[in-house]
Amino acid sequence: MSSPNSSSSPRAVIAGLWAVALALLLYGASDVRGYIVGSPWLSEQPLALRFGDGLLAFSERLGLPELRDRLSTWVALPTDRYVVLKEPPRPKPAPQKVVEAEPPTTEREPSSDEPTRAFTPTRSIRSILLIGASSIQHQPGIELERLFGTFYEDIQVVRVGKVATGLARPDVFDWPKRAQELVDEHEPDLVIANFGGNDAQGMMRGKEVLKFGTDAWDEEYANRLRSLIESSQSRGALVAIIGMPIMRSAQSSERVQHVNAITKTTAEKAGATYVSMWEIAADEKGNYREAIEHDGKRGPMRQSDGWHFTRIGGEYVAERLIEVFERHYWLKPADRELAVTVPREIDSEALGRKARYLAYVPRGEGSECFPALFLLHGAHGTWEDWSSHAHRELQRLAQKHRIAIVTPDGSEAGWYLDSPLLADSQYATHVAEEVVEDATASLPITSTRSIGGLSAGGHGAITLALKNPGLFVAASSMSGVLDLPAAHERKALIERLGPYGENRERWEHSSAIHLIEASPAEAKKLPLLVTVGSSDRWAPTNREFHTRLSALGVEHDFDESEGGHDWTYWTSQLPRHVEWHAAKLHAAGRGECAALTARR
Amino acid sequence: MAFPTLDFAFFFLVTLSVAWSLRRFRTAQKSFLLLASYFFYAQWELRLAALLFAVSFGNWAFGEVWHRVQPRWRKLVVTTGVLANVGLLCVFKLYDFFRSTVEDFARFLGVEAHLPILEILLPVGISFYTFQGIAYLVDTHRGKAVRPRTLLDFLLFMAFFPKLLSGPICRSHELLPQIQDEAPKKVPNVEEAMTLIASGLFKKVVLAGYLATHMVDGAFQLPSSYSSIELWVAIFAYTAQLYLDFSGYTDMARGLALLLGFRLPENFRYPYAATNIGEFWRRWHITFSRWLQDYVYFPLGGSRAGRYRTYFNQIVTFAVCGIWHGSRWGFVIWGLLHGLGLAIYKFSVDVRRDMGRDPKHSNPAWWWKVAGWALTLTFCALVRVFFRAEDLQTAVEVFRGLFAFRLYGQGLDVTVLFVTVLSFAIGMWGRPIFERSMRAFERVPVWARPAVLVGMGIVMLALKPSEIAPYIYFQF
Repeated sequence: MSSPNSSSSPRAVIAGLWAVALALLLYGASDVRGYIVGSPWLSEQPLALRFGDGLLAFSERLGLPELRDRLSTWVALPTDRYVVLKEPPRPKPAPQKVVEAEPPTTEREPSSDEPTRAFTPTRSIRSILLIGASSIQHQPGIELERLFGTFYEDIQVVRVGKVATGLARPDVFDWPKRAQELVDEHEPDLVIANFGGNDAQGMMRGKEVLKFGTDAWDEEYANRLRSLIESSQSRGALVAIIGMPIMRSAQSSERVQHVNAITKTTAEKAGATYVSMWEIAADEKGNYREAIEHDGKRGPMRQSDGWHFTRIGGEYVAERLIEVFERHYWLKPADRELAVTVPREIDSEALGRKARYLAYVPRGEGSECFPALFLLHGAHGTWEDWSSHAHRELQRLAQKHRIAIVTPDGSEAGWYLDSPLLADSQYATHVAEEVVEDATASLPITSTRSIGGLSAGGHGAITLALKNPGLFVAASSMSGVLDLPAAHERKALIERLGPYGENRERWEHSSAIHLIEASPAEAKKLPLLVTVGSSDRWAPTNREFHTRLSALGVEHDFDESEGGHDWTYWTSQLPRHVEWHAAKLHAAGRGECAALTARR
Repeated sequence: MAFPTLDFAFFFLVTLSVAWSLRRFRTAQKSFLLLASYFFYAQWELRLAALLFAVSFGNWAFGEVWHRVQPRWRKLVVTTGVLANVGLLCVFKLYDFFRSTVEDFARFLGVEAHLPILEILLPVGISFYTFQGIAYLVDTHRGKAVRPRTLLDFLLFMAFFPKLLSGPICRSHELLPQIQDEAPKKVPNVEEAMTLIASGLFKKVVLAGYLATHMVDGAFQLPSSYSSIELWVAIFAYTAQLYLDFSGYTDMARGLALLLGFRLPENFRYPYAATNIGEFWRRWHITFSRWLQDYVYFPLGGSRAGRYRTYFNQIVTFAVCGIWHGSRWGFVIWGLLHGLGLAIYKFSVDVRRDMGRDPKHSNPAWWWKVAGWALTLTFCALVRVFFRAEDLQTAVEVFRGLFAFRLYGQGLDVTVLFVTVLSFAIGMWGRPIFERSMRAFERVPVWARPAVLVGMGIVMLALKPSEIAPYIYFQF
């Protein structure tokens, strides 16, 4: 202990301590200013801002920032400089293709205002770089790293997350620079980034302070994000940006949503994929979710701060996220009982835009090819619908029954018909010609095909099969809108076919029941499966359909069971429909495997 | 406001300045310190300050009732008071543990039970001040407590901000007399105070932060991606980190209290110099293990009820120690293992005594001591896996990795190894280092001392890791 008579005058002690504090404040002036700008309360006080500016200016006059920089290079602990027992780098495997004879995708020079091509469908992902703030350093970053490493074949993951960092404060941590270093060091195929949680604060652009919520802030943030994306793309990597999830506090949610909106537009313009975590973390009604059930356990989804995920929350979110990644990148599951999801993109002339679709391709032996089921989604849906609700089921079923399943884009209002009124709404051509051609040419599938769907897609499946005799060997519908005129008040249909009253013939020419009545002989050649839930509002239409078919002598399978017009019914019907299709497809005999014969 | 932050430094300097300027008006000074303490606590959340007041007032009230009531009612008063404290603590800490255990058990029986998931915010520091309250009540009943002269004195005793969040847990006779005494006219032991604060900052911000962010956090997040050697380094690094973090915090708390004119009890006495597990617990979190001894172990019978009952008492006491730390099976297992370890040690002592060799008076050979030291340290490091791992699954993954002879992982950073060894050196020979630093500081002339402190501050700013490692003992 110190000498017993040691005691000092309080004034001396206090004066001394204040002097020390002031000296350190001056020395760390840039940190102090950054802290003031970043604090939501202090950044609103002009006095505080002026204090920060003054302090920094005085500190610079004394030459302290340079002193500090020099000292930090001398004094710092030599981290990462002496690392032993590092694993020798694995040789990078050659890039793979789905099918050997796949025709090369057209490489055209992107024009300046067109988004750069984000999507290279047949490039396999072998190494992933995960970067971000606390959501990457902790959950769901930990689970994402674990899943990418164990769920898929042969993927190396490097995860670098730093709590309390982002793009708003490069003085605390410069992410674009660090991303460039990491990309140069690891040369990943895919960079996945998540920022925004710590960015809803004031930013400094040089000496200028940009307040959150202003246009200048939005512009600067977009610039920084673009710079990060470009750093990541510099060695040819693909880039995906994960958005921030819903938060417990309404205010935080709002702020984070604003950042997400900027992130989405910037990412897509810069040729990166935007992956939303918002819906995954929310409940069915879109609200903040407290509890989550996963893997037989139940617990709180978030930690007590209502922000960060718990372990069980992280596991759940990570599993949903990798399903989304499988929709955009070619990732092969290690489990051989799951078919491989192959995302594809076509330059569609019928639609005047690029169109995406997914193919669930079973694993086969050598040059084995599979028959294909084309599965259509319903109105208000997208090419991602089936995957969002039944991704793993589709993989399991495709592999089990050894058929490929293709889910094309029918758009929210396309109704799978060629519209004489809207030039870009030619969905019948798109599905029956463009998607079929592209899939057959680039995937290991044969020319034996069938078609099915839900709701508007169920109707679409039957009509496309009837309008293209011989193209499909079977057709099925679940909860189908089988009598198009019965939906005559639908705006989407009116826009595409004209009002029902004045265009009866046109409507009937596109309606399943009318097509069958027009040529029952054709219909008799097509195996049909029609199912509906008894509480579905289209149940009467389906029953009517069933009655009319029976009256015409058209053989078909019909089934009505408990359920409504919802995904619970459709996911429960899926195995049954797939099994039915598989039986019909395999019975139709082996077709030509176009992709491989193209080689010869 | 955690200690090593800008806000806290500003808060403390202001508090220090005002407190000393009020030194002639003791009551005003104490009231100000009380207000400052509540302000400090309310920074986390306003409701917490209300809770603290409720607990403080409640314990004071029970104490006063005890003094005024007839002797035959006194036991009831104390028991009620203690149960109230314990009950409050259980509600806040154990609800989720209780919920998930009940649900798991029900699922095991084939029943789906869904208890509501309550978002109960764990008030930081509650484990510490409720325990302080229990100590006060039981000491009152045993006649060992100092009776507070006024409510103000007691409130300050409970809320004094340097020790509010993570101890040391003070007995009434350690802190109340200082509060009730006259205010010191001058700042006593400034050199000791500054050395404590500097030592605390260095241990916590530089060393512990470094180990956490460069090795421990990563290894405990995803143990399967680390090699066996790296995991062994990681568990020792965590053992070092925990000591540096907690003792660093305690050093700062004691230094800050000293600057304000109060001396808080020691909490650590170089625990990694211990050569057996019994000695370890006499040197680690001293105020807490003393509390366990006085209020759990002795009431259970201590070592007076025969050999096997003693072992049982030790195990139960450490089960309580485990569960105090939190509502996870990991903590309970950690506590039980320590209890078991202690029981085994005690058994070995008893056996040696039976054989005629009294361990207390023997002088074991140097290699025997080294073996004991190595065994104690390794035992602590291994058992700490349960303490640190987020859940049992992760703990199992760590153990699997430790014994898997896995060759490659993330690569072993030699600097981490160096810092770990340095930390253990400090944990063992820290006393001479501390004393020498203090003497050196005493030799510096008064006018030059601010410059020395600024220099140290600059060096620490350069050394601290850029990430902020969360303070471990706040979660208790």
